[in-house]
Amino acid sequence: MSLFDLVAGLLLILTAVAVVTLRNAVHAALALAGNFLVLAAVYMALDARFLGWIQVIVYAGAIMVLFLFVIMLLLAARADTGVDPVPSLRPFAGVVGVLLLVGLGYAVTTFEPVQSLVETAPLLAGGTAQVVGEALYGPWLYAVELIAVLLLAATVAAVVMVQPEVRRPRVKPQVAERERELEEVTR
Amino acid sequence: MSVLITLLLTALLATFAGFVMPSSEVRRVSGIGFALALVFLGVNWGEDQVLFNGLYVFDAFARGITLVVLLAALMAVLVGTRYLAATQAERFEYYALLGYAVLGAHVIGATTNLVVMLIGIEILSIPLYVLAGFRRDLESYEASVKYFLLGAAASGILFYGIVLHYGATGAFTVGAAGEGLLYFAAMALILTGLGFKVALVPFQWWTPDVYQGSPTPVTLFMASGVKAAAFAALARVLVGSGLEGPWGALFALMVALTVLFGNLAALVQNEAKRVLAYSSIAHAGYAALALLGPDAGPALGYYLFAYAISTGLAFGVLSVVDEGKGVPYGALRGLLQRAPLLGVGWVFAMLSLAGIPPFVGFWAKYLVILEAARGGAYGLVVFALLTSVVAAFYYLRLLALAAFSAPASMEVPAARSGARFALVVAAGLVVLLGLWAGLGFGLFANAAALAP
Repeated sequence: MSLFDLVAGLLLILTAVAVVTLRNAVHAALALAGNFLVLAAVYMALDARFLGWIQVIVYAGAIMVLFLFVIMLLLAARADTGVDPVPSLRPFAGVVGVLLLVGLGYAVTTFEPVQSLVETAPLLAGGTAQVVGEALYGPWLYAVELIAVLLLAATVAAVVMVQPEVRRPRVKPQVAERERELEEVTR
Repeated sequence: MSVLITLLLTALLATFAGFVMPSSEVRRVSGIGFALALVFLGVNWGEDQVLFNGLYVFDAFARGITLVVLLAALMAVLVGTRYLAATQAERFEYYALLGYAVLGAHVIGATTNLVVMLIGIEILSIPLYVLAGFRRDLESYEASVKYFLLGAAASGILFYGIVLHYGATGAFTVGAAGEGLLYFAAMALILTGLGFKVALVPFQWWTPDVYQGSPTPVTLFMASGVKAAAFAALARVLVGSGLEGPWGALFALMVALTVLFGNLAALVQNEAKRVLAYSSIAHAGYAALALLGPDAGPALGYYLFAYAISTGLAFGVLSVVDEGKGVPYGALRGLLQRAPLLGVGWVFAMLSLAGIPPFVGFWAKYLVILEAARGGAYGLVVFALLTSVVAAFYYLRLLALAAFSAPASMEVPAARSGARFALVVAAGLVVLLGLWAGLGFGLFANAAALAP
């Protein structure tokens, strides 16, 4: 375990805990952006360089900015402090979380890799855009096309969700009265 | 392939046609598109296709699931009109979002790759989150928010499960050989995520609120089409990995809890959509029985098909009766006298859902129970039979309300011609396939091989 692993791991855990515990939503969002940046560095250290940069550009650069916009637009920086509808769930959730951590940790440490890392690591070739592109537009082409459809569907869905109600032309009571009178006259 | 392209074009056309034509025309576009996909499905019925490096697998099971989803979508288009107009929610985007959801369901049914399955689930779910909130009132918004938050969490769990599956087996294909604790953890997480989508206990909590709050035609599609697609994913994963050892026991326990909880909770409801929501939980349990057998494909496919037309018929009637505020029991009183077509449809749907011969629901239940018995799960079979007797009580109560109670008023809900056509066809299928069981089962008979 190198110094980088240690520092990055600690930073990841610290920022993640901060995201969950900080009461101020802006602080939590910034902690999450920090988490993404560290995660990007970890990706690069694991030979997934292109993915690391994408992580910075899309997650930290686009998604988190959108989150911050929403938080600020809704003035939701301060969460509903003091309102916990089911406080009895908190220790239960903690216990389940710890159990999950222990179980997964045990599973990860005891398992034997199906493919030898020494053989497969050179295939990554540093995880540059070239290798990723060859995979995306080769064996995974169908998935890429499907994701395009997914993004279009999500765009349509988001537009529909926020679309203001269609206003129907409202007839004023005086106009309606006048129309009724006219009808009577013609009859 | 032609089905996939037709569905994609239908969704795209419905998205952009609304800019230049009124929503009634967009309805026609999407209806024709779905019908055309149905035609292509029939033309290609016997041919298996594997395309895109094995990511798209159009086998007998995929065809069956696509058939169910297309029928559900056509019902949702045909019966949706009046409801949407009555609740001031008639916008052309309804048809566009429905188109994407159907495409997603087809993608889920026609793949054995976990990543593609996941993308399909998202293409299906994201339009549905919005469709659930399509009516502009608090109940509908609540359904949408609840569905979205829980659905996103379930998708996250599913993501993690798929990643661990890759770690443990080195492949994204279902049925890749794996063992050890990491494989177990992966399968547990995948089962959780997919169990949420099909509403197996203990992941069913969203169902009643979402079904009740969503616009009724959307609920129709969720109960029939979405359930079929989610079951397709679950079946491929479970049949691929096999249900030996702790898996079989755990899954059998989930199935037992599902049929018990769904039926008991449905007994104490007083609103028709909510009853059918709990009933759909119970039916998910019955459908899952088939997965315990040695040859799950045909029985499961046939069950989903039978359940989709029965529940589609029931929700189709409710879409006509409902004015956007739900359907309390009083609204169904004397339906048979007030509107004979709706009444007959409702009675048939209830009898079929209760599993009473000679309706299609009986044969479906018979097949899944036979399949579970072939797999040796005798205790579970007896338990499922007992709970289905409990279920008969609330179905027959709903039936009796419509058939024997005196109506409070003689006001007749007017079904439009499209809705009337859809209801007549669905009611006809429920009876015809019940009397001539071999006809429907023939469609699914060779859906045996689920995993590659």
